[in-house]
Amino acid sequence: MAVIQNVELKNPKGKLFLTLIYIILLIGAVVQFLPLVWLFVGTFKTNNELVSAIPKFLPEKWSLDAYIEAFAKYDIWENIYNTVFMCVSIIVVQTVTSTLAAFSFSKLKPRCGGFVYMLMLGTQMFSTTALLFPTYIMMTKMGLIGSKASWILTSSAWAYAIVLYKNFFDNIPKDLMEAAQIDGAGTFRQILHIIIPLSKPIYAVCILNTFMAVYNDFLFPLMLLPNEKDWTLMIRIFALDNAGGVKQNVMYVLLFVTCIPSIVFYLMAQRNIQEGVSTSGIKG
Amino acid sequence: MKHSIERNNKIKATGSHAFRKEMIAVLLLLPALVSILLFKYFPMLLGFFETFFQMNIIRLPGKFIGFDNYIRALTDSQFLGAFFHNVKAFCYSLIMNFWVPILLAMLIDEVRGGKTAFRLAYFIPACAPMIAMTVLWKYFWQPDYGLANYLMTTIGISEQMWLNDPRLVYFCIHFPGLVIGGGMNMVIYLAALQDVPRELYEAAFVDGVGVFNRIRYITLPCIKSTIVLLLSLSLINAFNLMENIMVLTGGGPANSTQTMLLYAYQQATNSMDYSYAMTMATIIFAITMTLTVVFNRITREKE
Repeated sequence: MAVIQNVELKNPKGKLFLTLIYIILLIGAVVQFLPLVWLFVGTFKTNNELVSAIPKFLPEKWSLDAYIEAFAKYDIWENIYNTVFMCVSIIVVQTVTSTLAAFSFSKLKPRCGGFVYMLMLGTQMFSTTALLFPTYIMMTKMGLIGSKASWILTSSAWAYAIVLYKNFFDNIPKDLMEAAQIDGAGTFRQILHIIIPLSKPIYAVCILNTFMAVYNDFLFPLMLLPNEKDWTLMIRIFALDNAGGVKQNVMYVLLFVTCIPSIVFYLMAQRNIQEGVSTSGIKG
Repeated sequence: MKHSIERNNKIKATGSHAFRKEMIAVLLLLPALVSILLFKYFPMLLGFFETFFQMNIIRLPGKFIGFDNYIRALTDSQFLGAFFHNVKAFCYSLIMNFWVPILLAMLIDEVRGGKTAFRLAYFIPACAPMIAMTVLWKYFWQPDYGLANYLMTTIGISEQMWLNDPRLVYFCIHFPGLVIGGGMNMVIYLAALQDVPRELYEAAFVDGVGVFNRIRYITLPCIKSTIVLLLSLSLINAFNLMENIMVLTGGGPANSTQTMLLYAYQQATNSMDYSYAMTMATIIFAITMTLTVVFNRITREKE
């Protein structure tokens, strides 16, 4: 039941219309997946097959050579480790700072709260563009270039998450806090045992958003982490692509490997994303 | 007398309690506040401050030169050209990308069975990381062995240079958004469509309003705020365009896709001219801020 009414579907024109919609959507869905499928199948091909003038969809012989070569030649495990390390540390730091701040805004309401809240909201207007170069200079002066701490520090607070948490915490009744207080629970116990268990959906949305932002970002790590041993998967891809001369099938393996985590994570949280998107109206 | 002492004590007790509560509240705020001041506001101000200097990274801030950086940027033909490339990219994204997720969401909303399946099918490919997909598309457009030229020859059209052709390069950059990649915004529109009251459609149908007029007079006005929001986001994105251009063309061919931010980045990394790069970044920031404000003003007035 939407724009087209069920009654209309009984007449031939309505039926034709709906069939057309199904056909368009089905063709579209197949087209959507073509690049990904091509990428997946391509990882089993030889380099010559991929750069031949007459490409074939399926490989002549399914071989894992490209995977073996990619993982042997480039230190992909290290890149994966770096990526996971950065994602986890930034998620942990950001979640802690945002939760504490949001709890304070929502439940403790300090006198300076309104002003500080506006101050934090203001950072939402800063573009990464405007922050990129000054951050680099600042980190150079602090001697943190090439240290993972630089990236963790720059992303240690995210105003958008604070806003989302605060709005969610606002809906948690104050009575719960007071009851806990009477039972002798301190601030941290209240956060750990009341606030967080009640706010799981919003935590899912924010953590996923942060994960995707860190996972996909490559401008900041490119500037802040110039040493090869600190590279994340995205920078590895960018650097190899820039350098050129890399075998195509090896590159396909790398591209495919980077696609897996983001797709898996989105699938895991897609219901939450839909909720988060419809409540906040903004994507990550 | 006795009463007033008791009352005083009570006030004192609640006073110290309130003070303690205030302290805790401020303490909890501190980590986020310090982080935002140090790593958001400070760099922002530092960047703005340095635009008036010829920066010296060893001894900040360097030599004061007033507005010279701004004058240089506004008379730099390459920067002005880059501005028009941004505008051109925005126009292309309007024509080729912007309407796709709206249409998709409306079509998927009409489907009677398998709505979730369709939503997922369009959503999954959009989750793939941007860099990875851009590199893959670059291979597709490759003139020697790319799939695009193979498809061209099979349907009997002569081979093209694609990304190396200044006339086609913008088309190539925005083509992926036409056939895939609408999934992310589609989910947002789909969520907005769920909030359209279904009775309106029913009432319109009973009154004999056709399908297209129903879309025009009910659906579109109801999701207008979402459309405006995503339009302003795409405007901001267009002026901060850089990453996928960097991967696809590096600004070529013959600087025809060099965007403002890419030019700034090249100035910073190749010529080590950070103060000039930050001047350009500041100008880009000013442009996007102005556009957002103007945009909001216009849409609010219309409402």
